[in-house]
Amino acid sequence: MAATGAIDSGGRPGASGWDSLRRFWRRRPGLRALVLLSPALIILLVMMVAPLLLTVALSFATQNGFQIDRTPTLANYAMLFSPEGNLYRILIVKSLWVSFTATVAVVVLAYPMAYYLAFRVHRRKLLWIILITVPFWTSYLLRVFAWKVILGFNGAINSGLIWTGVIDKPLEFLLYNPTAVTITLAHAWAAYAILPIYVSLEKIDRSLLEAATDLGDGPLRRFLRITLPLSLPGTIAATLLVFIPTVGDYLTPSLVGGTSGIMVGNSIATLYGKANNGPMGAALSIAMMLAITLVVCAFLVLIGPKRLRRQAG
Amino acid sequence: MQKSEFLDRLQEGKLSRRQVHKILIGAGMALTTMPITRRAAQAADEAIYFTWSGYDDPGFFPAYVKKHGGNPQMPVFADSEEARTKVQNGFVVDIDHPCSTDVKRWTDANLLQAIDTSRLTGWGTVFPQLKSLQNTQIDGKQFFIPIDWGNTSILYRPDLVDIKEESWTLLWDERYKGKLSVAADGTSSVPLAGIVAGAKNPFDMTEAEVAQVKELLVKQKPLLRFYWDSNSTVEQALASGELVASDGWNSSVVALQGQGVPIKFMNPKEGIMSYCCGLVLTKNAPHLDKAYDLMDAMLQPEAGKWLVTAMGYGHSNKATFDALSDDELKAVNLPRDPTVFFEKSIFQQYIPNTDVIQKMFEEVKAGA
Repeated sequence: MAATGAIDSGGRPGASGWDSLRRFWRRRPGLRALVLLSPALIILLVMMVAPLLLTVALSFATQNGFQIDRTPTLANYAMLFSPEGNLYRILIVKSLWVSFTATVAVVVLAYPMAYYLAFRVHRRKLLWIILITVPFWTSYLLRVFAWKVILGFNGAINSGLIWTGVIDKPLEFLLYNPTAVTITLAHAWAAYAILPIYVSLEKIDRSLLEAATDLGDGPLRRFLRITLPLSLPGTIAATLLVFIPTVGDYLTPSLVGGTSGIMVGNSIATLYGKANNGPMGAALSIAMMLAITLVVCAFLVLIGPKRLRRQAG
Repeated sequence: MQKSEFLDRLQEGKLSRRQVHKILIGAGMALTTMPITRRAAQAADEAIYFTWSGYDDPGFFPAYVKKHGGNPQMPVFADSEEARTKVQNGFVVDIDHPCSTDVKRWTDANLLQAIDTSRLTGWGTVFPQLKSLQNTQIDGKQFFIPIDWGNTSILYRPDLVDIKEESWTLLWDERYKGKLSVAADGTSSVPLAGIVAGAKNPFDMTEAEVAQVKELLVKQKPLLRFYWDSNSTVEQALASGELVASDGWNSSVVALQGQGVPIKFMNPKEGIMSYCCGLVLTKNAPHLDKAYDLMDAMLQPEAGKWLVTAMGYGHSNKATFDALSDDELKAVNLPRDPTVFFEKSIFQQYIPNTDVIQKMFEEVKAGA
């Protein structure tokens, strides 16, 4: 094309089909975006949307021995609101509560780390970020097991304390209780909280902090009036990133939670498996998702207007 | 592009976008095609034996390996209900490995075919009590070949527990608060409480009995350290002294004695619980002849001897017991003559109201 020069825009007969296709491609940014997105979209549709729709459909069916009766009915949901469904309501509330405490612990622990990373570390930031993600190179299950070993009866903490002579009998309150669940979840999800908070802290314009100091704010007031409000988007993202997946978690409570370790995820697994009632399990899953959505919406409504006012003012 | 040239250019940052794309396309093609060719090479035409993870060991079927020169294909499962659901949804296998209590679920779902026991050379010497376990024969046809059996009872540390009489009530003993455990699985822990409550049939309890058992379980919960999910959890906790007593399987005795831990397997006055697992043949088994070879291989005394000495489970063939010495049996806590033993033990049964039991046990755990 270069040899024939600029006059070639009329197009040669042989290449016209190809050229018009190219022009078509160039003129439609929407199509281009769609094609580029399609691998991710297809995966999302096949792996997320389709199973979710199937779950919704299944929740309106009834288990009939080994067959599934697909006549739509609300019986499963009615069961959740009847006195018989007490177990499931308690489990959902309990799961939300455990996740809530874990999320608070994660965010409270992650914030100082992210703060240090954003404001105090000036050299080799990448190395620091990689170091923070190192624990995530092993599987989730292994990390939970590691906490079992650390907190256990003859685990790292107990044998260390016995060796130094601080105690003569292992401490039993370390493992198999809700605190152990919170500790384990707080560690397991730390990176999901540190990184978004770090990003929003990093973006804060340093001159705003200088201005606050110049105008007479001490370090604490400066933090409360400038740093904290401006880092709220990252903190909210971190809260949601940790809270939403941990509600359905059932591995951690069943491994380190002891006799009270059962959460709604365990019940869903039992319904699909041993109790042989998939439709009820589907209904409980949907109910759990709706409960999470409600809590998250309430959280956003609570935090939203305030944040907007601050940023506007 | 030569390999070294590629590396040099990469280091100098001189790779063009096109070249990077070419390399990425090549790598992608390689990644997606490799697993396909490997899979095709692996799909040997052997019997498909769907079994518990941990049971996929050639020690279980030496005769099959000898005859066919290789292992059967062995996909594994972690839960026998998971296995049934998978097969019901179209997963093709020849043989599955459920326990006798699960067989009714398989036959009700119409997944099995009757087994022609005349094709099994080891069948003649199988213990008669195991041939006729509940729900494993329908209209005189055999649907289940018993292979491995064992006992469930209390494992306890004789050095840390002081009892006058061996009884299941040890799991409700206030003196050992926080040092006891029972299985997280309701189909095992609920009948156990049923035995203690004196239920007429702990595997088929009336509504009133279920309510009574629930009270017992609620009373038990604060005494427990945890509900166990795997026998290794129990073994570790008993070895460290975190637990002093828990329900468990006789195979754990072998593991713990091997570590030099003082451990006793109780023979409770209410009766010891026994279970038996074995083989079922699926309706549309694609490798029927090889499936029979595999079932027969697992009934042979040489397989049984390995099962007893290496795993600590009982074997269903009397010939195995004849071939074992008294010391070998004592080491794994198995009786010399299982026929006498079977008369006294409480064999686990199919639980018709499993869903009720499961939900009740979950309510106990959740404190509802």
